[in-house]
Amino acid sequence: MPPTPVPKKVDYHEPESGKPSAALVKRSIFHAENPENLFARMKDHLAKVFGLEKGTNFCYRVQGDDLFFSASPYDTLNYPKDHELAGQPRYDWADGAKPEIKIGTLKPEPKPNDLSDLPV
Amino acid sequence: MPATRLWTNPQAAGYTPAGGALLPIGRITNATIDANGQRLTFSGDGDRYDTLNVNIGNAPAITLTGGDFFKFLGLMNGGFGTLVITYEDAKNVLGTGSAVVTLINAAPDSPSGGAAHRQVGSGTITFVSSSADGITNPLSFTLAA
Repeated sequence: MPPTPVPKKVDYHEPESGKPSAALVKRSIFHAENPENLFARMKDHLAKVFGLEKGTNFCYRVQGDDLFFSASPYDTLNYPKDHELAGQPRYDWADGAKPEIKIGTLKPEPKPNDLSDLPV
Repeated sequence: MPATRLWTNPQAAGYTPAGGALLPIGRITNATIDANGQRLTFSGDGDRYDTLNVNIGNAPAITLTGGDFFKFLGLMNGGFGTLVITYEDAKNVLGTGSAVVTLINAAPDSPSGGAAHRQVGSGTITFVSSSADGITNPLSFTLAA
């Protein structure tokens, strides 16, 4: 009897703040005859922009008219609801190589209750 | 060989409860993804058709059907975790075109199952999900190049 397939352990790339690590891409650019080629090229393009190895796999999610690409399925566009910055964007977004592409750079993680600069 | 854009054999399903270890789920016969769009409609006066029909939200879910229904029943814990499923490409199997589907904040809900006389038993379980920030889709995909 063949053994039950076991899912591969996935090591997710931990994004660093200050470096591009996410993209919002208009879904319309994938409406082509051969979307696989476009998708593969998009992955290679993003790996280059993010400074990762060619062939790095990215997750994508459907976000309305956009696809949200990032290395980990746990990435979120905004800070989570239980974060002190809940509701605010986690990324700074800049124009990409095409008008349909926005490249996201993770904002520096704020230090909770950081009082180090409080005058005493 | 290029991807076929046809998928078969959902396999390598696994559920990792938050803070727990990966639990492989085998003997899967079907895995269905549902975006569960929620719509609001309105019509009034003498309208024959809706004059408003908008999507106001989604509740993505994945339903697994399989033979090992006692494993499904064992997931009735009210917790949440991460569900991963792999669909084979119809020709390339786990190569080019195979798809990995991940549902985060996935909560097992309402498992059911049983067996009948002279039939192999079967069960189903649905994993519902939530979003950490309220706007990011908890359902994500990865395609093998």
